[in-house]
Amino acid sequence: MKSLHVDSVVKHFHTTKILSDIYLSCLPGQITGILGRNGSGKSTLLKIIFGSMSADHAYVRIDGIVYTRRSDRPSQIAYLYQDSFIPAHLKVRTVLDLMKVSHLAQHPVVEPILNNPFAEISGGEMRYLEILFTLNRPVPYIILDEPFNGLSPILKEEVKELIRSAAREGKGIILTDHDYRNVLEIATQKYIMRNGILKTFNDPEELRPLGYLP
Amino acid sequence: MIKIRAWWIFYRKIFLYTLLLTGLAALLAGSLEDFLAPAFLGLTYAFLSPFVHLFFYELGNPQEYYFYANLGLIKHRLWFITGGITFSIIILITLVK
Repeated sequence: MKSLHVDSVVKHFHTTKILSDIYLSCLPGQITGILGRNGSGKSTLLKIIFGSMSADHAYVRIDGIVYTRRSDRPSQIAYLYQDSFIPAHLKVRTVLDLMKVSHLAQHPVVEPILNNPFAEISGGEMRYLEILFTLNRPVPYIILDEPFNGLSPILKEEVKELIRSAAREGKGIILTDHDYRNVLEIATQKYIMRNGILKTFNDPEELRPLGYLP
Repeated sequence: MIKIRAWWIFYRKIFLYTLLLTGLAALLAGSLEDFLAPAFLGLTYAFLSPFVHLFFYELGNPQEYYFYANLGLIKHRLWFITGGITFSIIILITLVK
């Protein structure tokens, strides 16, 4: 069965338990939103799924194949880091080639700046390009860590449409952001992370007794 | 091919700055003859390149690791390559001597 299936994720930092037996699954076309307070372990979980961070224990199965080696997962998962992560000295055209998204060269935002290095692009525009490129990578699953961070309201709307569009194309998307309204608006399944445990919810009112909303 | 190109983009910063520092070390050593001695050049490069890696990526731009990870080069693999080049240079110098 096609899905990103994550199970039994346990992570300690020294003696503090950060993640406790996490289970999560994401189907093609689904948008999975994860909410949680600062330091609740959301980014840690996403990095473990992507493979850039080790866990004490993690079982990751992608489209029926178990990925025990962390270094193999980026062939199936694209990851948007929470801050700008593309080397500033690289030209937009070079990044398009490396990320295998050359078809975006004709995109109205990309075309005029194809030969510009990222260092010459504004912060908001750079973030938009990172999201656009990540969502268009030729992989079935996308992880977005704080995609709305630092974007103007107009760009947030465009990013939401990009995410929905990628999901319509059949990509499975997992995202987290402190802009919970936008996350709740686009997520088709919702989780809250608290005390290292991931819990599913449907109604935002359920977040109040959990201490996430005032 | 993409991975090799990505690795070179990652490594060329380490390569160029380590080469520059190796040249400076040769100047401090006092002569061009010393600089051109393969053993001196190789050992200085091998010693300095992990520190340049540490300085530019671990301390300076750790977020760039996520760019390379997306291209299939996760952090520990990049360290392994830097370490591998250092180790290979030392072995080569030992064999040539």
